Amino acid sequence: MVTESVIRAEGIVKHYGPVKALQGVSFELRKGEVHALLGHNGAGKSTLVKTLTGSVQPDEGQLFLDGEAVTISSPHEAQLNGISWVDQELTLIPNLSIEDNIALGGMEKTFLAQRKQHRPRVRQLLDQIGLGHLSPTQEVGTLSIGERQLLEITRAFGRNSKIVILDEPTATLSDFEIERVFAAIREVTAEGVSVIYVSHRLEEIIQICDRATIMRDGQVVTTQEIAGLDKSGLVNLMVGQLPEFAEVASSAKEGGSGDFEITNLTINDFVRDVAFGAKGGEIFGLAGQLGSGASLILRALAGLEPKSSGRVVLSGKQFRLGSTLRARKAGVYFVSNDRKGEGLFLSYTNSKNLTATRLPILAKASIVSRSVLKKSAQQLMQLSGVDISRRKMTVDSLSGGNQQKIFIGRNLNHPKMKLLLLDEPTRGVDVKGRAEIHQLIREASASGIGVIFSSTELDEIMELSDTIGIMHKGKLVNVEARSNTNAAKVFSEMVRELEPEGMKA
Amino acid sequence: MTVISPVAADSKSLGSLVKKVSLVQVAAVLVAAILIIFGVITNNFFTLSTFQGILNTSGIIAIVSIGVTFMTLSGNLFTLSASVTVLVLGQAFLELVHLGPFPAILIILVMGAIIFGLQGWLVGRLGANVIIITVAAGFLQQGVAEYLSGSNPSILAPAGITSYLWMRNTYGGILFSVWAMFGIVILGELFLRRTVAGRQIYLVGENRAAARTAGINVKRVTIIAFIAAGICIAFAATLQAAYTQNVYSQGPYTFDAIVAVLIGGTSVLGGKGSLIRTVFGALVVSYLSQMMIMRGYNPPTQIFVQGLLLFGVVVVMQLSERGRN
Amino acid sequence: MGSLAGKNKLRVLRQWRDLPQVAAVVVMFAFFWIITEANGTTPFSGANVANSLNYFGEYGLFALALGITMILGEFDISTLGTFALGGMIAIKLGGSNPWLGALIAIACCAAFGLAQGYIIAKFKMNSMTVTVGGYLITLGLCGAIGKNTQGSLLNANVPPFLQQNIATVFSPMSLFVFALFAIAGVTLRYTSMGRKFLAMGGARKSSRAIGLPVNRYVTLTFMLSAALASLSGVLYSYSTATSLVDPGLQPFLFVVTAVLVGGVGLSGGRGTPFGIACGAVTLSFLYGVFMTTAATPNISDTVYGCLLLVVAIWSAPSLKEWLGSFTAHPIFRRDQETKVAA
Repeated sequence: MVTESVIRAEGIVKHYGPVKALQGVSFELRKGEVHALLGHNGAGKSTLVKTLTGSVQPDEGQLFLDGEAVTISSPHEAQLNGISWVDQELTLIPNLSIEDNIALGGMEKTFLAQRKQHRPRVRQLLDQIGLGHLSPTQEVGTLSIGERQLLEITRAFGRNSKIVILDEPTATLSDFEIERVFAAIREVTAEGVSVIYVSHRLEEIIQICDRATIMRDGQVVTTQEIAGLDKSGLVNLMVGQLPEFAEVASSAKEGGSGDFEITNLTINDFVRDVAFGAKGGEIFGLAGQLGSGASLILRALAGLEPKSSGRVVLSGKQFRLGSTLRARKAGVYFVSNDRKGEGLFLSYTNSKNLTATRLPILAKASIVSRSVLKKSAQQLMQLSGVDISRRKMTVDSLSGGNQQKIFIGRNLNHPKMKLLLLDEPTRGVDVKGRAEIHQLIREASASGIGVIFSSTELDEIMELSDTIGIMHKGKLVNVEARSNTNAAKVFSEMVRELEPEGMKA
Repeated sequence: MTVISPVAADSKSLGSLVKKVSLVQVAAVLVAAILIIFGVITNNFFTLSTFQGILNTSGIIAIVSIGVTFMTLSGNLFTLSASVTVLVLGQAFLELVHLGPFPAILIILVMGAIIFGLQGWLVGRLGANVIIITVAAGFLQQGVAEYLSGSNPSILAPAGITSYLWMRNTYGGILFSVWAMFGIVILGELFLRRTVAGRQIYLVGENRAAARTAGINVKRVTIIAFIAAGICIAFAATLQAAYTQNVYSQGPYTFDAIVAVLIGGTSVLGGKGSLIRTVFGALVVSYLSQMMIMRGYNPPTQIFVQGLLLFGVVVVMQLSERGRN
Repeated sequence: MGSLAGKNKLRVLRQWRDLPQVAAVVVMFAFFWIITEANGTTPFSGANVANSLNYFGEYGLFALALGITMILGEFDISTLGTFALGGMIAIKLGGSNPWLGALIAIACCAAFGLAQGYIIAKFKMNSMTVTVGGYLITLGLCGAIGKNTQGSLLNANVPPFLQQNIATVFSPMSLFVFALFAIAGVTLRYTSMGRKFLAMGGARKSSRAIGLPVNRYVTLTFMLSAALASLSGVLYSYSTATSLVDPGLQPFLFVVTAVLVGGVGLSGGRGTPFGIACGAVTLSFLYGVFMTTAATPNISDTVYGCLLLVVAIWSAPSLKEWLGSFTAHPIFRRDQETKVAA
């Protein structure tokens, strides 16, 4: 049986400075297949996808469309070549209707909007994806996140493309909605469309994909047919990519100011009834994939989520959620995952950033003295591990790793801090920086405060946590001491592979 | 999706940093050159009395501009009703001056703080648009001003009271208002650099979301910035009333202040700039006005030139700050 | 001619979302009626309405100009300047030929708007601050032209022509403005151009991501706002046979209130020309009230200021949250602890 390849990449190499994002990757997508793209963060999946969608130009290598060599130099060209994609950046316009959004995604060039003419087609697309209960004239702003995600996918399918790339399409979807996506995928591939499915979720990949390509460190490790693959085999393949974890000797935790207990935590009707606690001096790691709710929990504890409720007791005192001021007062300090948007003052110097959030403490009667600020900045700079000579440099001139260190360093040695929350503490940070940041976090924890961090990266969870809590679709699935579990178990619970065979602890 | 960030990226921005600095510096040198050249070719321009005149006319407008600067630094653009507040509070001052200059000044300062503080609350707590709120507040104040002046088109200084006239004298050839300006700049800069609230004004202006996440009370800081503005503008009102002895029409303060703040180099996006820069901007505005007057330009032409200068400065500043939201 | 404007208005009326705007018009009209009856010696008549609608004719397009920039998510303060400048140029040049004078005025201002818009679009600038500079430039030009040339050369026939009575309540000026509003409304609602426009206003970043030509639209919108504002200024000057050297902030107050009452949000992507027209008509009736009662400026200014303040607060993003925070206070909350079943 001859299977034609719709798009083929051969020997793709891409460097970002000294970092080798792709080191000679070859990949092939057959007509009408659903092809999974797997790999841990940093494996090169997103870079590969970007070369296919025209966002990024490869340094070496060649792309072939239907057997012909092509260069895709822009996203627009990719679209012209019949490639559509849906990624994390939702590009729907909330103040426009569903049919208007679908029309905008298309390439028609008519003067009049012609909504009535296109409405039947819109209804058909909505039915296909299970959104038939929605009216095409409804404003997208009134849709839930799940419905919007389904709409984005529908729009991509509705463009009559040959190739559709879905990047973590189900992160925000309910089980029912995921089934609808699968149904739409099956319909569309039956008509000859090919789908690349980038995801961490093994149970979905097993259900819907025909083949899977696993990447690691910028290279393709293997491409396999799903059908013949053992369920646990796939898990092992994924987990097997991780290095051995050194046993970090954890001393007995005495507890301290950072003892906390959380019960009945509910956020946005998505995270429900989460309960966990730890003693000061322990590092609690919340493991969960994108959209599992781990990040939401941290934000809610920091007071950034108005629709959150629950009982939080920190250091013996309860405080009410929903206000950043109350959280701060209670001693909760938050390092968000968006250091540029929500964390650092980019055009200010490092010293200024370090002392920015502790001015009330450094001040006497609301007056700050220069020398006190300078001393504090120097001290924090040293603690952060960023070279002191860079005190006067602006933060935006630092690398991602150093920026993150400043961001975290700002919260160190804070007399009023009782609980430190870190959301993706090493996002966008290289290996060396990551190790240094982990050390920072351990030092912070050693002072007796509570530390909760969330991460989508398994190795970070295993390296840093004393206790691991696993989140899946808004529920806290399991809480285990690090010493009682292993990487494979944690991973399978993150991806909710029930009854993993042959993987007892 | 996560992107692998390059390891040694610290030096990469150095090149673009050099470019950024150059653009603003080049523009500043260019403007300075034009101003100096025009000054040279204008008869009798570079004399001591001219510069004295420039300094003296800049006093009150500089104080208003300093007030507006607090708003700009906190990320709240500027007010479109500074002139009206100066008018209304000037009238009120003349009505109250019989109580003695210092009590009257104090009351006016408090009134200014309240007028601006209320606007600050609407902007800071409710998130209302600052331009629209200040326009609306302006018309409310205008209504009050018109009521106060009643059938008289002007409020004349109360006869026989001279206790406050020292406010319009010169000391060492320089008007009291200019000395006051220096004093206010020093106090204001101390406030901005040495107090928690002052430093937080900068932080809120630089990155509001980051400030909020870091636990800074953004609403309170906004109100404080507005109150600082109100106090400055109120003080300018007392000086104006003392100087002109009657208060019947709005001065050019609103837009002159905006021009002074932006020309001085304070960023319209917030978080960057200083009161000293604003004083410098006010002096440039004054220099320009004086020069245009001596060259015989009529007022609308002066406005036109001011507009060109402002437009150019705003464009250059925003260009050099690309990347900030 | 009246039926055409009326028909288009009817078609657009079908949108439920503009109901509050229509209600505002009705309420203000009723208020106007009552005050006029109570106050005047002559009973309320169509002439009163026509006089009020003169304000609509003079300021309406100015409101539309500002409004379309706000729907796009921008804010064009320089429209106040081009409003004055348009009228000034037309009056000074339109002595012998009012049409030519109007045309030149609009063309000059449109050219200015195009240049301003290009700079804003290309360098992705904050339009609120750039247009302050534009305002000063156009205001300065306006004053310079005004001071340097003789008084009004306008043909004496023009004002009465614009204001003549049609169907008791309309005039050529107001009908013309209604017609332009109708065209704007239809274009925004029924063309793909209008759809893209709304997209760019509501979600700028996403619009760029899906490949919409944002820069082009921003540039052309600022050109259009300058043209409409100057046309409004022309109508104002021709109708009142005066030219404004410096209009002050009064017209700005009218249009900002009209636009906000009209349902245009400050964040972009929301609002319709129909809504803006309703807002402008509402404000016109309010002005009419003050005209018939011969109110002194202190009263009218205070009322205008209050109205704008109320509307600004109404449009404030955190208003709901602030109101909600009262009910969230601990004394109102029930204890949220639930007993977990053993």
